[in-house]
Amino acid sequence: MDIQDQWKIGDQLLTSRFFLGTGLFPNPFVQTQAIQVSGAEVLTFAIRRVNLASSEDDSILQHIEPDRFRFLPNTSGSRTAEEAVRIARLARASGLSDWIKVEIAADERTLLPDPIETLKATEILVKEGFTVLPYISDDPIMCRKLEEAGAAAIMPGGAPIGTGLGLLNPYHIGLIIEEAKVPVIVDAGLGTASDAALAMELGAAAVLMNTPVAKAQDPVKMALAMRLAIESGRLAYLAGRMPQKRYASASSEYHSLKIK
Amino acid sequence: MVELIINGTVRQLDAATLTEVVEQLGLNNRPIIAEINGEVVLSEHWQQTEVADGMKIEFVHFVGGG
Repeated sequence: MDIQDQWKIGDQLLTSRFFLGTGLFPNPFVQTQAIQVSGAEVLTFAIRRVNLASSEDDSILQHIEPDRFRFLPNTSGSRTAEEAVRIARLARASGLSDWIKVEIAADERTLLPDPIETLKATEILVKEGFTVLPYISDDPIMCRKLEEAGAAAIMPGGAPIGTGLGLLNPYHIGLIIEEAKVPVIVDAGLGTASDAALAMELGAAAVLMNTPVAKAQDPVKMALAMRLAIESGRLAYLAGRMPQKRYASASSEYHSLKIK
Repeated sequence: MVELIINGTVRQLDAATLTEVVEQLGLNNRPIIAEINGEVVLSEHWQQTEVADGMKIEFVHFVGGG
């Protein structure tokens, strides 16, 4: 196997296939360690109001060296394309990144993405020169429409955000991967290492997760487990798995030298 | 004095420019992004951006997220 299994989003060359979120970690120290162990090159963030009541600098960026990572801010908190575009512009004004994860929740209980608003926001932001990575349901047709709108990668969810339910519809994820000409990054809903491995075995370019690492009993250990699972799953995909059979077939030739 | 709506709260400040607003709120040298009345104002323009009564100003920043 080519050790340099590199891939690209837009013009950005990437080696790691692990995108890691930065929310919910027990403390900055554990987060920094988890990021390091994960080998992630892309980190996600949210954009929120500065807390004016607190004089403390609570910005996440004081804990992260910006030169070492590609930043992927999201538009979480938005409910419409208009709100998402506004957050994207604010994120870009930071001067840190022109990548944006479009994330428009249509429903508070499931946080499932609003496909129509997501498509609208993607169209607008692509025209404004952003590198757009939309988070979307595992719907193959919707994913195709986002690709046609100029998304740099497609990010279908495995299950609703933060549920840890894993890939609820591997058939759809597989179909999306089969048809897409841009990288497919399975985003959201993963729970443990086998979920990440399955996503990669299906041919995903990468996976994006946050809660499974941050909310593990030992986030640093889980970051490593996920990294290894992603690498394993990727290798298995490249190696090409054997066909599944309904009945047994012996590993040693059976008839000619059989002891009677 | 100028009366501004900053991050949803009415505030009276003795400030003429956005830079002065940032200073008075103790936000200088922090990685924040500013928006006035829904339009982003890049930090290099804060000094020339005058503030007036009733302006809606948002200061946001990167926080942890997935």
